[in-house]
Amino acid sequence: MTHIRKRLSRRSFLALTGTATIAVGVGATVYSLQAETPVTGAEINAFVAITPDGEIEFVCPALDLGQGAPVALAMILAEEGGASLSQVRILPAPRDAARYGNPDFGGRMVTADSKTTLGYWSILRHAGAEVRLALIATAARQNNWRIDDCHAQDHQVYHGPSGKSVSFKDVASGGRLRLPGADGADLKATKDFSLLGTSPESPDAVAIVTGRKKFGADMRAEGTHVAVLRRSTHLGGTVTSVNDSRAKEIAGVTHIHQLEDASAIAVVATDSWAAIKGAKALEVTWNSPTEYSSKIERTALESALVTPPTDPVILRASVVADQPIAPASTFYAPSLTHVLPEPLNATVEGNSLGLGATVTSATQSLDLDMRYTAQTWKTAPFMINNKATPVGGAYGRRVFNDTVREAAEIAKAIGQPVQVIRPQLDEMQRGQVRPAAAQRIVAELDDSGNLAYWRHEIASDGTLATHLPSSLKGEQGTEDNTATDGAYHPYRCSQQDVRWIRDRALPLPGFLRGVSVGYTVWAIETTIERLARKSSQCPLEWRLRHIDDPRLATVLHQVANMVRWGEPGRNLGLATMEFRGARVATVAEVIDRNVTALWIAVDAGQVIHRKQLLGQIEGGAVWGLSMALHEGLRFRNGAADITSLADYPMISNGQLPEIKIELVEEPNRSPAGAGEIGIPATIAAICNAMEVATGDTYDALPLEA
Amino acid sequence: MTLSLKINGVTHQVALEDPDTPLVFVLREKLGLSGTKYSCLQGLCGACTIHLNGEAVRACQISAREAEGADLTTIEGLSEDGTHPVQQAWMEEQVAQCGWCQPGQIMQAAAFLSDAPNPSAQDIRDAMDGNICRCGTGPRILKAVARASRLQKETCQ
Repeated sequence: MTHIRKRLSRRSFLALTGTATIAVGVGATVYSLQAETPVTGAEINAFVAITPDGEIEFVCPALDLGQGAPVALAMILAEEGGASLSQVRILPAPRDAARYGNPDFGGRMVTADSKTTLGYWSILRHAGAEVRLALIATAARQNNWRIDDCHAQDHQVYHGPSGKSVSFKDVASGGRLRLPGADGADLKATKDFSLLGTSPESPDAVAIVTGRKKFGADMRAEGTHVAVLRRSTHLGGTVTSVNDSRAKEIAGVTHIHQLEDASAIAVVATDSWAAIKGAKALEVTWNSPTEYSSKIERTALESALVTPPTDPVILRASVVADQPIAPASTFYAPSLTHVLPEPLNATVEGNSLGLGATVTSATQSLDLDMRYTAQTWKTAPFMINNKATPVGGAYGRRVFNDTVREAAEIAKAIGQPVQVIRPQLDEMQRGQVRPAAAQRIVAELDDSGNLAYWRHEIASDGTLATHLPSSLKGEQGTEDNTATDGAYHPYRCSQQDVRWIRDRALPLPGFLRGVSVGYTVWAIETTIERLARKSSQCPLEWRLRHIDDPRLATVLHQVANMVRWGEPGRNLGLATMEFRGARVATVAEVIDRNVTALWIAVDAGQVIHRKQLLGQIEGGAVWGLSMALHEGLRFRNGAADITSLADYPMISNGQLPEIKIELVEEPNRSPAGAGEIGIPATIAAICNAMEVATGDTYDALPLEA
Repeated sequence: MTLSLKINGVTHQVALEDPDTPLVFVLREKLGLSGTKYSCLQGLCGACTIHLNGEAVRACQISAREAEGADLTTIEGLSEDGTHPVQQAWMEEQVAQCGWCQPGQIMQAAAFLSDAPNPSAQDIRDAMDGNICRCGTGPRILKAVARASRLQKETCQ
């Protein structure tokens, strides 16, 4: 491969030489401190190379979780680059946060939190513009054209005056590329976008419907063993004693390994069924379970609102002149489990005489997988080689992908490559949960019916606070945004006090699509609707009167039109919010306590892939319906109260109401995050519609009078 | 023990230490047919749905021994290239998000439509009610099944 030294771009992450490799020779293997990019063509910048065949190689920093981020990012690049999407090949970026980290994620390589399209939008437009200008400048030189007379589109460079064109292939194979770089003025005007906003078929569409798409759990190299862990069904269980003689008798079982912290025993086998049977056949005595229950969890959280066990994190505080006389409303959201489709899995293989390790995992973060492995393997980060597989459902659960840690410990102990598979039921009983939360809101209107006082307290555990406290935000560095998202409501109010109180829970906290915004928006929007209705004001007009954001007002008007808001005799509930730059307004209709329809108006900024965006919103709404009406992980006698998937009710295909979605689109807007925005307003709108329909007040999810 | 399994029209001789191994693991790990997925292993989620003598069944609830002698079809055998009307409809509606549950959904829909070529909207809801999609593609699944029934009729005509 010919190395081409690039002109520096304005952004340092595009300013790579590609040669800053420090080789560390160990045996026959060589590791590089800076991961190699996977491209074969001539590099234009860190994200793009072009092959002599004219194919664009896109080094994609987003992982394939199924929400379509890699395709969306490729579309941004192709749009700016004048490339044809069918000739853009998506290659996974190596673990190299300096080049590929998400600026909206503290520079980490994490695909989560509705921040992928949002975070890489500017970078990839810039990278695409560099591609376009490089091809134009090179074509101009090759053909003696003036650069200003040329433009690039559909994988061709066109010369206006002559009407001639050359393909990217001709340009790329015609000699050394010119690399003029690009700056903000070189970006396309959004009115000239032709690819963004369309719905091209996903490159893996055929592979999915024919069963050929391979996920992490579908890939196990010859000679790699499979491990299944036996954990106690109760929380915090540790092994007191074990008899593994029956497990060892099972054909295919090769090793039994008790984790160093005694939290589980791994049964390693040559195939999955032998490992599953072996784990079941272990005779284990565990320490005693605690008394922990959902009732204890709820009482503790509600007590924390009154007597905070930790210093409250103040999110909003303005001078409070008058103490309220209104009673507090309380809201309780239970712990939730993900019900992951593809079982959690990770493969770890020692290399380099055992000094390093290679990790292959269905993950949301190469960076965090590396941390887990390096810590467990007790080696330096550069000795860890990470690979991600396509993921069968992530929803936040695979960010803190603890299966990697188990795989690393077992592979190191047995001296052989091993894939850990975590069966769904064990994950539901003992895995990460979206933490439960208790909230209390005191709010009052003044004599004109306007919001005069707002006090909102939230008590919950924090997922970032538990796993990655270095990522906490806020002035004091104590705010866990995954526990406070959604608390910053959009309504004008001169006296406000909003705070989060961390109260540690026994189940291990984890991210789950929406995390806190799923319940904070529910509490806020339910309170707002009650205030409006109690004072005989229209909830729509009340909201419009209290917000400053014209984009939020637009989606409120839009959804009102969709549903014919104001028609008498209907049980309609409204909710709205801004999240990750998206404005959402949702109306639910309830007939006989059944949700019969949802209307959703969304301003998600620039639409990238239309059907994917609509699918994300719709999928979020389905999850919101499920959270509002069905889901809750209950605990009893120190354990999750489930012995089967049937013990965790969820909405099913046959119960889905009609869901109508309309997008509000204006030029010159950045795309918003979309992965979670369907959930929160759906829950709140359903609660409001149920209150209208029944006259009851709901203070817990799933909705219970 | 060696079992004889007829899968996608081909008879395989499969040596198994445990003939009670659930069929899903035999397909995935002995025969390389990893298009059949699994999630709950309790017959409750539908990810491992295949056809046994034309009926949709959960491959985690049938042992290899029980499957001997039956005519089995997996997602890989529905069509070679995604041209079955259900697969076509799935692509036209852009149903899939992560894609993990979709082979099971498609096999459920294909068996249903071969029995009920003219389903009502409620028939479709009932038929697809036991297959879980956690990404929330359910609304598109229902649309795709309706579309597939139309495509199927066009193909037959």
